[in-house]
Amino acid sequence: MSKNEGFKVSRRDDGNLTIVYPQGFLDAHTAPDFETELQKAIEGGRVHIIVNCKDLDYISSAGLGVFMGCIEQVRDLGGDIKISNLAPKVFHVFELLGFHQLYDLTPTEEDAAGKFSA
Amino acid sequence: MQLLEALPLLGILAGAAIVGALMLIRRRQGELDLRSPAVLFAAIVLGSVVGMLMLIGTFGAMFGNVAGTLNVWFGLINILITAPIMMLIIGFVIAGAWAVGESQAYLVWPQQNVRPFSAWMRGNFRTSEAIEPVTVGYLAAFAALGIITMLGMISPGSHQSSVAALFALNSWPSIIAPLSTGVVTGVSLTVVGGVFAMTYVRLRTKRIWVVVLVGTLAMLSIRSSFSLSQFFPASTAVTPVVYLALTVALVVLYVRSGPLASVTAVFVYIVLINAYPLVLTGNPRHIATGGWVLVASLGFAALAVYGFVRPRAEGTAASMPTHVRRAIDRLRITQEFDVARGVQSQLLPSRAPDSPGLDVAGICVPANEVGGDYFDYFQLEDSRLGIAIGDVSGKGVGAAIYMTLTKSYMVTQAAHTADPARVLSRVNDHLRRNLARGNFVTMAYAIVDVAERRIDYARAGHNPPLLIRADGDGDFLNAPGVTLGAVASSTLDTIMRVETVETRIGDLLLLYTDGVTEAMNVRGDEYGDDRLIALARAMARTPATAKDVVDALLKDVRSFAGRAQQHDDITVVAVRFL
Repeated sequence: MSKNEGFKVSRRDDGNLTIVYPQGFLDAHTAPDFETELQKAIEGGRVHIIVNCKDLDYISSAGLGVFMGCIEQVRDLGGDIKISNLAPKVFHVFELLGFHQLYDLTPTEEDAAGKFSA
Repeated sequence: MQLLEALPLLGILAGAAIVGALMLIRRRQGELDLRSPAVLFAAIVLGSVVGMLMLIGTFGAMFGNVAGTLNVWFGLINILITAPIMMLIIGFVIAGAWAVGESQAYLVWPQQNVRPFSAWMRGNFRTSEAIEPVTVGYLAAFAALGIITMLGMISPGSHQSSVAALFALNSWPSIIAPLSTGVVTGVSLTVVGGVFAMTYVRLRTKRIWVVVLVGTLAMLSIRSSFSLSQFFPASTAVTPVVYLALTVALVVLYVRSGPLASVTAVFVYIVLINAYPLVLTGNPRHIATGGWVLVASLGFAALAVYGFVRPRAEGTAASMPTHVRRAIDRLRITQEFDVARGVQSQLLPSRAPDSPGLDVAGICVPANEVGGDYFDYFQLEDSRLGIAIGDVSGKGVGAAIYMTLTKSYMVTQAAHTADPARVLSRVNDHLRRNLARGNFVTMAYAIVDVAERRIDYARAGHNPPLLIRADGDGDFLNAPGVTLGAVASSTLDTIMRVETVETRIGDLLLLYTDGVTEAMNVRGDEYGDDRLIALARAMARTPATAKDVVDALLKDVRSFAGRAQQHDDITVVAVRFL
């Protein structure tokens, strides 16, 4: 049995934008995979990142911590991570922590891309 | 009657099942070594085959005593079919008991007692640690023999015969039989009764008399041959008493001096009790055979002396098998976690604060040994009460360490700051400096002023507290804020705001962590805000105490979760305004 059963992450580069797609359950076990994917992008000099969460079913505090840490790091480098397509339940978790006041949470990937060009 | 006859068989089968199941568990934990149990199994089977062959050799002599041909056939079937199967099962029980018991034995008995036995069982006789238990074993056997001999002299009608005497016509079984019986009996009693049964009981109780009792019962049920019948006729009333006393003595010897001492004692006892009736016959041939058996009885002593004189040069740690070291490490970690759990629970309030006009109750139920949930009470000036509840991101030891850190910051800041947002902002400063990136702490902090009938609170990304009136009206307290550790306090201060709510008599204030609302049942549904507020409203309408509310909520969450495992710490603090 794979320890990361129920979680996958993929990535797509589009111009200077990098779009990351986490899928399934993002918890303490799967957070390292997600962080590795983001770090690969950041180390490759990609600092304009959109995390499209349309297939993200669940996020635990460990997963939220990855967002928090990486956004701070990318902002220090002059970029940002925008978060799009949050399911209502997952959005509620971001909202509870006050993340909607710190980070750009957008309804769609296009909206997020628009925020970068603005 | 038939059932009674089947009991030993059922016992052996049950033993095989238990040992088999434990072997599977140990195997999964990576703490099962099969090599020395396999050798033990082979040795027991081989020993039994030799014993059986000798029995068949004397079978002809026994024909005369058997009434009727039918019984002879039953006897043959028993020897050729049933006995070998039983022999394999018994061998499995003994070898399996050794396989699962060895590493556990190191956890409950002095290691220097178990180590030489482990070494001998692996064929490593070059250990200096064997000399002491072997000496004790010989002395114990001599003492037992001396007492038995005296009792035999004073007990009327006692007679002397022996297994060896049975084979007296044939000199080589006369030597082999007592030796193999001695080793097999010693090892099976020690391994099944001591290394397995007594060890597993000892793991669960500190009361040594329970261990001795179970060990005695286990050894009696193994029905070893102490060869007492050679000194006492079976009908003598003294026999069971002596038998019991010897077993208890053996159990005590095991507890005090370890498995090698008890194996030695049984071996020496059985060999000698078989040997000297031969010597006493006066027949020169029997005296010679008995003499050789007496010499062979010194075998254990010879091995121990050899090991003492020429020990293999290696550290005690290196001589300990890997699976045993793993088991010891696992126990050590468990004990460390128990300590950590105790330390952490001491950091949480054990008693409700003594605040006039307030009825307060709080509890934290960690999902694992240690957790990241936090709650605290602070007695402030003007009889105001500060109530904090927090949740550190992540789980386990890391979260527990950060929880401890958070508490110390809260204690220092709450004492001299009256503004809840200021307190949280300063704690944020400290956490920003000390948490590894990606970690955060959600916190709600409320200052309850009974005299002024108001609550000032701030919420740093924590689940919103609930304030419900006595009529069931009321809702979540949703002051804006951001979790601690996420951003610099300068940013935090622009978002986080203190809100003030008026309180009335009968109000219920409920603070909780996400372990409550995110408790899941087996279908993956969450307990959720709706169930929480429904319960809070129902309780607020009753005169329930704060503790009643906490208990009712925990009960409701548990019955909702059902058989699903608790995956997050659950913390609840309830306040009723009197």
